Order: sequence, then C-alpha cells, then structure tokens
Amino acid sequence: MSPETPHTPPPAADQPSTPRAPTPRWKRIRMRILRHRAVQAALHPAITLTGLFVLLLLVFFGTLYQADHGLYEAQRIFFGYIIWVKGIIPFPGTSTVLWILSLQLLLFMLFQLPLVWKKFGLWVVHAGLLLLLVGGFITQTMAVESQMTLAEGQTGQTTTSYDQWEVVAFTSRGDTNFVTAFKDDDLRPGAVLRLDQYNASLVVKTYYKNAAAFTSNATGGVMPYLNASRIASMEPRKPAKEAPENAPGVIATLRSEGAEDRDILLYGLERVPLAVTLNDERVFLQIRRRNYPLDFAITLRDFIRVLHPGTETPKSFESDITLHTGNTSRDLKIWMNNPLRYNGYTFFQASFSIDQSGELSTFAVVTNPGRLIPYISSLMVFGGMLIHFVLHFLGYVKRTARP
Amino acid sequence: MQKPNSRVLSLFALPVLAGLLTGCNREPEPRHYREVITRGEVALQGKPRIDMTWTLPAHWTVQPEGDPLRLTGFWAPDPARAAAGKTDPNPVDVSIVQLAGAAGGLEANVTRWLGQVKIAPSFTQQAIEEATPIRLASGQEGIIVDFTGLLSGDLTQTESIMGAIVPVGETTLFVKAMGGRSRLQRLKPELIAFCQSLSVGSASVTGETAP
Repeated sequence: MSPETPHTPPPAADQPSTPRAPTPRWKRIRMRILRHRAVQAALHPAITLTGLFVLLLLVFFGTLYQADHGLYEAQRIFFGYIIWVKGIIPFPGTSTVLWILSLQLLLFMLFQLPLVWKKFGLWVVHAGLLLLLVGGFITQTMAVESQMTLAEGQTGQTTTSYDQWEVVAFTSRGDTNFVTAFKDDDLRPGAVLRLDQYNASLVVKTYYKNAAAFTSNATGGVMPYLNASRIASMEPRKPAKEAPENAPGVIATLRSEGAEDRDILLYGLERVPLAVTLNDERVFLQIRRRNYPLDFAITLRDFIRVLHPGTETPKSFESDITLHTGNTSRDLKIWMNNPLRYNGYTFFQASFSIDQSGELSTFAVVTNPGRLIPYISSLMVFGGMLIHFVLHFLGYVKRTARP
Repeated sequence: MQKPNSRVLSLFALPVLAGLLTGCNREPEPRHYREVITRGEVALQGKPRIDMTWTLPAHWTVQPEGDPLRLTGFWAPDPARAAAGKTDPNPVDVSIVQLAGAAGGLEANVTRWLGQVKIAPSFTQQAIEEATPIRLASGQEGIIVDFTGLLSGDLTQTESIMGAIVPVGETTLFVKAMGGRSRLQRLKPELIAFCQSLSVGSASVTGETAP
C-alpha cells in the first residue's frame, strides 16, 4: 500500500496564483474521513504487519496441531474466529485476522489510494487482493465437500458429507424418499425438531457428537428406547481425531398427535432407519451423514485399475461413467487429476475399494461458488502490476524524451 | 476526536442486537428435499433383507458406516489387551456381508480371501478341509475357515483372515475377521461365539420395528 499525504500543501506565496478548479465535494469528504483519527489508526501499517505475522503463527501452530488432532479438528480450531488457548486465553483465529485485513484493505482503497490514472494499476492490484479475500470467505461459508461411492453398474444421484450429520424423517413412495432434515448443529438438548407434515415433533434430550452404542445385552434385555437395531444405551466418547470417524447419537422424545410420547434412540452407525407410524403414515427416522441430492445422475459403467508390473501398487485408476441430465446421457471418463466439472460440481477420482460384488469407485465431490475467484484475482494482481509498470515506463519515456 | 453520534450508533446497534436475539432463540430450520433411491441403496433401504440379531462380545464396537455392501462391521480388540483395560491400536476388522445365491461358490470365495492376505490359491483345498463346522443360533450351518496357520507368499504379510461362510436360504452370509495373525488366534473363541450367536430370520423389510 502506498501512503498518501492527507494535507495538500498551500501554494508558495511567491508563486503566481493561477485559477484552480474547486475540489469536488466527494473528494473533500474523502479527505475529511481520511484525516479522522479512527481511520488513520485503522490504516496503520502495524495492523497489516501484525495481521500477517499472526497468520504466519496460525499456519505454523495449525500444522503442528493437525499432526496430533487431525485435519478436520485443526481446520475447525484454527480457521474459526477465536482460539481459546488453554481454554481461557483468547487468540484471534484465521477468520478474524482475514476480516481485519480485508476491512483495512477496503478502507485503504476507499479513502487513501489516490484516485488518479497514474495509480490505476495499483487499484487493480488492490481490487484483486480484496477479491481474493472475498473469495476465501465465499469458499469458507458456501463450499460443500462430499463424496459419492458407486459400485460398477450402480447409479447415484446423491452425495454424502464426510463429517456433517443430519437427523432425517422421510417417507418412501416408489423410488423416491421425501426427506425432512435437521442439521447436527441444531441438536442441542431441548431443541424442538418440528415435523409439521406429520403433526409430530422430536424434542432432543441428549446429543453426543461421538458415542458408543450398546445392545440390550448390556441392560439385561431392557429396551428403554425405540430403536431399529436393538440399541439400548449409549455412552459419549471423546471426538475422534479425524472428524469423519465420529459416530453421533441422539436420544429424543417423539411427540405426535393422539399418541403417547415415546423416547427414541438414533445412532450414526445404524444402517437401518427406525420406522414409526405418524399421522397414519409410515415414517422413517435416522441420523445419517448429510445428503446432498443432485439434479443429475451418474452411473459407474466400469472402473479400471492399472497396477505397476509385479506389484499391488496402483499406477492409475479411472472410472468410465455416464452422466444423465434431463433426457440426455453422455459417456465420460474421470481419472486422477482429470475431474468431471458439471453444473457447479467437480467430481474427483478419490479412491476405490473391492468387495464381493466387484469394484467400487469413490468420487470426492466439491461445489464451490467461489471456485474461479482465485484465478480471477491472480490475473487482476498480475494485470495490475503490468499496468502499473507500463504507466510508469511510459511516464519515464516521456520525461526523458523532453529536451 | 469527535464523539460518535448516538443516533448513528443506534442505527447499527439495533439490527445487531435484534440479530443476536433472534439468533439465540431460533428454532431449528428443516431442509426439505427429495432423493431418488438408486439401485445400490434400494438393496439396503427398501427391499427384503435378512433380519439378523447377535450377541456382541464384550469390548467389540460397531464400526463407522463405510462400505455400502457391508451389512455391518465391528472392531474386535485383542482379548488380552481388552482384559487388561488397554486400548488396542490395531483391532481386528470384522465384517458381515450377505450376497445373493452362492456368490461364486465356496472355493472361489476362499481363494479370494486367500488372495487378500497373499496366500497362494493352492492352499484353497487345505483351508476348506481344515475348516470347522459352525451352526448359527437360528440353525443354519456353514464353516469357519482359519488362515492363520497357512504360509503367506509374502513374508512381510502379518495379517490373516478367519471367517464364516454360511448359506442362508437363497443367500450366503460372510463373516470375515481380518487382522494380525496372533490377534486372530487369540480372538478365535470370541469369533466363534459371535457367529454361534447370530440369529438369522426370514426376510423382512428393513427398518420395520414395532412401535
């Protein structure tokens, strides 16, 4: 950032006074705001340097933390707003620092960066940097990462979260489930999950982010809760090092019109939903990884794995798929570093597994509205620097060409 | 420095306060969507499947959901470590899979399992001959194969397999335990007890539970 002197020096007394155009009102306001002590303090370079230094510390300690606590937990702690060191000392998280740097950059552009053609390149550079920060915010808040696993011949129309869960109530008609879902963030004790279409609700009693479940053998055959897998009790467990390994559990009271309250237990590792009758309808209840339905479908036609000769080490693996959109279908291929990009979704070849039925292919699925922003902002920074160089170079040529 | 205008401050403060208050008391907002059940999921969610119960040995834990073809999976810790109250960092992976028909036949499945722990297919017959019979709690009979005594072609291979293959009606049930060779040997009584406790009923619709 290049500073600008807020005060315009008065013309020297011995210079002949020439008529000058009056300063536009918006420029006067801009100068006035810039002179304000609060704005001056906010634009102090010490804030920028401190912010960058704190980011450096966060990256360093975040990397160390990741080694012991896993990627997801490190992201949750270090990418947040406040980090509580030892549980009591607050320290700014990455989000706080980036917000401060973004606001400072915005203030700099609004009030300090000179509005002259000569500085056009710098404007573009700073706009590019601001766009990069905005892109980071969009990615953090709006990007969704999930996965899809398909066996050969199988068709998928839903992706599944790695580490986020939902409590769902659904009815099945034909090949379609009609789902009402509540995010795991909402599962605090006392929360009421309203299932208005069934004239029912679930009142959360207990929610464990990670739990171990025990069958009725542990309770002498007593079943205190309605449950589809004969689980009779649950115990909380420390959150797993890797968030996808957590198995959440929820105990809730099911209230429905014309029926007695019943306590139900849903556990994340159950493969079977609990079936209950609500409002004369068969409704299935389940806690499961968050599902994201797609408006298109993918069929895995063939999975091809090539091994290095004489070893079990994969040389490459690729998936032949068919993309079904509306009434049309296209045969495509997804392989390592060559993802399928369609309709805002990117499907990466992530892994594979083999079971009795054959080969299964797993795709990492990412949807990120800010996906292109880093490319655009990088181009802007590069273009801005180029413009700045060219303008200065032209100025230099002009000055040196004068007799 | 000028004092901030209180009216201006209130303009910002009120919406922030309102936002905080509504944020604190907000009701969980449901998300409504439709999902089309795909071919693989139909097998798990809507179609008839065997109804199965079991008695879980002490210290075994249910595995996170992963492989969609597994009916379920468990982590079985080393009984010696579990008895001493220690955590087992390398528990045995026990999985239950049910497939239609004979799923390729007994020999083919034993050979495939042998391949997973790098034991030559020539040991297939020996593995079948040395298998012990097993009878589930619900009466179906099958065998338990134990590869822990067979020599792997890869001397660095420390993992082995012990598992039950049981025909159940028109399907075959596979209970496979895969883990360290010595762990598996110590775990064998628990695995046999677990298989004997399996009660496999007739086909029923998944998830139907009497309220």
